[in-house]
Amino acid sequence: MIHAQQKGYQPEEVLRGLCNAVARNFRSAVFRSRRLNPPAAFVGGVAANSAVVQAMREAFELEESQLLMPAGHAHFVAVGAAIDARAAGGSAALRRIAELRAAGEAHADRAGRFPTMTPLSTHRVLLLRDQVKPFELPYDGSTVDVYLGIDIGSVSTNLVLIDDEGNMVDEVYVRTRGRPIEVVAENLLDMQKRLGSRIRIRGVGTTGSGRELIGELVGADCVKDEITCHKAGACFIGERMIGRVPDTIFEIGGQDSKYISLSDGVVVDFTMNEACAAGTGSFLEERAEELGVSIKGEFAALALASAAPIRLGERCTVFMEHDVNNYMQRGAATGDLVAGLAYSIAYNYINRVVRGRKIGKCIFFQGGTAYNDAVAAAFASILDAEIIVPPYNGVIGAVGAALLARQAVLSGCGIAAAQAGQPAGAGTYVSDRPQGGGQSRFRGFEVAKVHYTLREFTCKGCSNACAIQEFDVEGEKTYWGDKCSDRFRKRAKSDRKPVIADLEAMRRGWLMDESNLPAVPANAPSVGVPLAMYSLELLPFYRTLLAHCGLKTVLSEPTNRRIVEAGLGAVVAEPCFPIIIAHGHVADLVARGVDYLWLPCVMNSQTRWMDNESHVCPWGQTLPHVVKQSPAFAAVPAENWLTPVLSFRAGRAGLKRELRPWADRLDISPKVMNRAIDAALAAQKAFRDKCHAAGQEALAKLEKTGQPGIVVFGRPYNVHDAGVNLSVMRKMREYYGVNVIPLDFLDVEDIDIRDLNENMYWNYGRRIIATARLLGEHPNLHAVYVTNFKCGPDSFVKHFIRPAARGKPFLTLQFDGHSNDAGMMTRCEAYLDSKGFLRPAVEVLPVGQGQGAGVGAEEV
Amino acid sequence: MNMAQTATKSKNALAGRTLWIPRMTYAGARMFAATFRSAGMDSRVVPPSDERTLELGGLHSSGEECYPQKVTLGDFLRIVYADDFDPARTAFFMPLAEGPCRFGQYAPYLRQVLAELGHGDVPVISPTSRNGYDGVGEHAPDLMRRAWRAIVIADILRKCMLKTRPYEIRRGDADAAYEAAMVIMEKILETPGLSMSQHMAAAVAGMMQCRDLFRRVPARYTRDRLLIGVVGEIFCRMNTFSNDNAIRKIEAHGGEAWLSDTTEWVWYTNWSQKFLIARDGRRLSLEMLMAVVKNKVQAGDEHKLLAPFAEDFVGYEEPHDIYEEVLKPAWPYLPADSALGEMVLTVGKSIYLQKKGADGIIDISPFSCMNGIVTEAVLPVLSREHEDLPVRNFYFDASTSNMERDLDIFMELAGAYHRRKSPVRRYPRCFEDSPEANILSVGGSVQRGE
Repeated sequence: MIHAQQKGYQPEEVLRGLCNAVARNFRSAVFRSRRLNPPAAFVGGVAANSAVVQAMREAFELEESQLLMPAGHAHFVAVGAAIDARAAGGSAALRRIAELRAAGEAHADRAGRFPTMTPLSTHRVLLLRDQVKPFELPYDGSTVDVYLGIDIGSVSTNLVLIDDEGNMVDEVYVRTRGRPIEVVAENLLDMQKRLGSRIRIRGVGTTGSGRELIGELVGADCVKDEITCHKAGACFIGERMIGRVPDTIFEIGGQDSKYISLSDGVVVDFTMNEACAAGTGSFLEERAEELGVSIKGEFAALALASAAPIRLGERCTVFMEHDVNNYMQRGAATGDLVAGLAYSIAYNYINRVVRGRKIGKCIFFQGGTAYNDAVAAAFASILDAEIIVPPYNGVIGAVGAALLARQAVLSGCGIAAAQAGQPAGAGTYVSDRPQGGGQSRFRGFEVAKVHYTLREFTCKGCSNACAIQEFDVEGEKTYWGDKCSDRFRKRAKSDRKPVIADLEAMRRGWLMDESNLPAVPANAPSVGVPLAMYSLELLPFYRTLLAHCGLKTVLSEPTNRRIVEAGLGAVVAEPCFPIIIAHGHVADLVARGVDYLWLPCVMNSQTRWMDNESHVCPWGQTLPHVVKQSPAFAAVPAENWLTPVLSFRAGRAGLKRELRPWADRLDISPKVMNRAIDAALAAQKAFRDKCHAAGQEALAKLEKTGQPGIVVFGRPYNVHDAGVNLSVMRKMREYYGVNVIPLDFLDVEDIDIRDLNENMYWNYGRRIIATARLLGEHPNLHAVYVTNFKCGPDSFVKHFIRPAARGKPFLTLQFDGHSNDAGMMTRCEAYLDSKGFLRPAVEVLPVGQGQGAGVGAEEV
Repeated sequence: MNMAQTATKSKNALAGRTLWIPRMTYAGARMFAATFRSAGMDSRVVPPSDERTLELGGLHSSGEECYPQKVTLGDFLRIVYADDFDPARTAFFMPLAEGPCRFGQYAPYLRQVLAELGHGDVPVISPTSRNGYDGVGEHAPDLMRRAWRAIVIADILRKCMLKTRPYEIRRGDADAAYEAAMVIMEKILETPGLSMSQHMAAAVAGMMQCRDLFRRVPARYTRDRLLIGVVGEIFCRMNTFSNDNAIRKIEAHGGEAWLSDTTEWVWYTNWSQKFLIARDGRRLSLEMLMAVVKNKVQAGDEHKLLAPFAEDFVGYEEPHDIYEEVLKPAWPYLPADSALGEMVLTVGKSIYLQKKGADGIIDISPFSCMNGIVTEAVLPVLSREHEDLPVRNFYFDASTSNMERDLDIFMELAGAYHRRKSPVRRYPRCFEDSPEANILSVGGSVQRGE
């Protein structure tokens, strides 16, 4: 939703979307795969919202008469309790109320007996904001050259003006209120009113999730991801004020938070908050509101004065809310609770964002939440380290954007210069509007006068059917859309061309290759093979086996939105995303009316490494048992499921033993079945060998050319399902010219990882860690780790990747059904940028000196 | 390095160290520690978990691992972070498993965290499920068999407590008997130098004393309590901190809990070891012979320790053949040839307990547990095919779980099922004087006997 606001949707559309989301979430998360026999009653307070009612009808495909809102729907449970009481004899004793009240008071007496933590103190917090003076315009009335930085975030929009020396001329921190365009327009006008006659805008930079839209609207010279901007701003301030640059940045904003690890000013690791609100500012604000404490000033004052902060632990937002209420009812002092909350924010951030990544010696704490000194004190206490809060901590991203804009304009490699035919500043976004070099593209303060139109349409590029908005800003088109926005999205470009073959496409070709399959009679029984989970690796085995048995294979569609929705509608419990998708693929095949469904119990992988087990995960092993029990597939006759146990580790003999009874059932002679198994194993081996050979060739090519490459590693069903990973490999190759090597092109079976983990019994886990070890040995190989939310094995495997890669930073992309392209591409760009894939060969301009090398934003 | 090497190395490395035992089950950890002490190792149970456990566990993990990992890691780290921590005098006990669930990763991850903290030399002792935990025996002669007896003893004592507590007249008496019984058995188990037969004779005598302690608890055995089978992930269902005292909540709601014990896991790994040997075509091998002998020896020991309780455990009998009574009934839902680990026990035991007269099944798992999410998917069908036996999954991760909220309605369903079900529960003699009470409605917040 937050991202939808960024992309320029009107609040009404956002609200409508919200109602639909409530209904859809209710269906997929609560109702799940149960069967609904209309009519249904809709009770609870939300039923008063007619938009949600409408959305519920749509989500459950109900007629108006089939969804009833009974009278008193908001108080249904209380009504039931009253009826129950009457049935019980009507003498529900009111004296019980007095007893309950007495019990409550007894609870309150126990106040002070709560678990507590050490009191907060700011003695190890360095507040740099106390050391800056307000900017004064020259007394002679002359104008000042300034650079405008705009950070359009989910909750707040920040605008700053920086002079040529790097001084803060003006700073605006306002709520985005779901209207990024209006907010920017209003505040630019206000800025013009206050300062317009005294300043000259020499350059504009935008950042934040709305950077592209606003960048086009105001005419930005530099459009950069937030990570690079935060780093640029923080490094500049650190160097200038304390002569040190941060090696660690904690950034906690309203709805998101970031962690950046730097080494000599270069981004070596970073992460963004992954779908968790408990470590962000808005959570703190909501709790403060409940406690009747103003988040500004009062919160920190109370918290810092508390002698016994309550230990709230670290946990999810919903639970924390419950805990705070519980302590309140039990009579905890407000000061102790807010101090506990400050600790919780810090713990949540460390446990859910940093997650064991490196915390250095020069720690900057910034973002809107850093205005709260109690949180800074909590970090200092937990980490037993100095915490530095820079000035302008709420707007550092905008400061960085302004500094980068200055650099772009002065170095003549800004957007305008790029359009004039000069080499594009890679990583900056390229527009077609002609302009002279060295000049800003700023359109002026009156953004409202900029003519733009908005057109909405549905992309028909694929079955995802994304809703796309097209903003036409004076003839310049900018597009916004969800998943597949790559078709329209403008992005960082690179002149880099890949030097190795398109391995992903080659693999797909080999995986789907039917040329060696024997012909099957047209009237042969059809067997549906879901193109999910292990099929994305074992399809050659499956199809060869089935074809040699005289069966016709029918594949499900590639993963798309329809498949995902069918999967969500079919799962009973809440497994990981790939398992949900697999349910969707089965649904697709069932709908096509195949004769049989091929859903083997894959137990383990074939490998040369026999010192550890080579299991797949328990959800994969039991997928057939779980799928068969789904009410969505209750109509499939039991005999239509083909679910042999395939223990590839047991080799040819084991497979023959397991498949024998299935051959009997399908009336296939054992001889034919055995021949089919031999052919299937040969086909699988040929597929694997081709991948390994191509991988060898690619590595040799990189070695010879000295070009860097990116290994994309993870489970095959994440790495090779473009519907899961939003085509990350293709995008990296096409847009940024990256040499992409998927992990199954590397033969890592003989790499021993037992010094790191002597008991890695999952084969994919072993392959992932072994691949990381290989990376550590190749300086020119970098890595993107593709995983999915809720992956049980990866929750442990990931801890062994970093030591295996010998600390080499890699990008982690975690996918689920809600992954969005803009978020993923921001991460990719920032990673590629910091790895030098997007770095232009640019002369760097120091702030305040005009030309030459300097501090701050050097790493562009 | 294989497990045998780890074990041998760690045996020497254990000299002068305290071996800390995780508190998966309270009684089990105490009996285990006592057993290690009998072999000359200073062995202690980690102190009870608290908020600090979760803070430290959280600080050193990402929050996506399973909850028991956070608890065990946090409990061990409290020892590492304590002011008097001496790495040269510390060792940790953390069993392994060869997958496929995440449990087997706890020990490697613990080793990595210790190494990161600069304590890579602190030994982590890890017997493995690959060989049915035979590795326990490498630390001292017969230790593995003594450890097995410790597990059986702990299971029996817990069972006594669980069958007494709901009926005690004065609150706290059953828990007091449980504590006293553990002290008796600790003394016996930690005695060094006993031969295997002396060990058994002393243990049986001790168990008789314990039995009498429980028999003497003043109690009113009425037949109006609902019998709730508790199955699920082993750590979370056994560890009262992790499941937020789920059993006491069931009791407060008018139930009596039949908690799946620890020995069933050992019977399962024994079966699975034999199954794998057979699947590899080695039915008549030395390995198979060893496995069969081990199973026989263990069964014999269990039989002796259980003998004094024959009368007390009427109607409370655990399955004596894990395959016939648990794995085979589970086969239509989760066949044990391809569904590995606790999930088959959860499903099979649910059916077993239904036949023993359970009025409902509660399946306890840590949040995001891979086992629990599989069983949650198949249990609704099992329920339908067993007279709509009430079955409910509860997940825990130190935050509130849905249990508080949903237990009322669950007990209501169990009460309704109790009135219509066909299996008849057998009661031991202590219930004899009590007539079958009519369970009208259980589950209101007003507790019985108040």
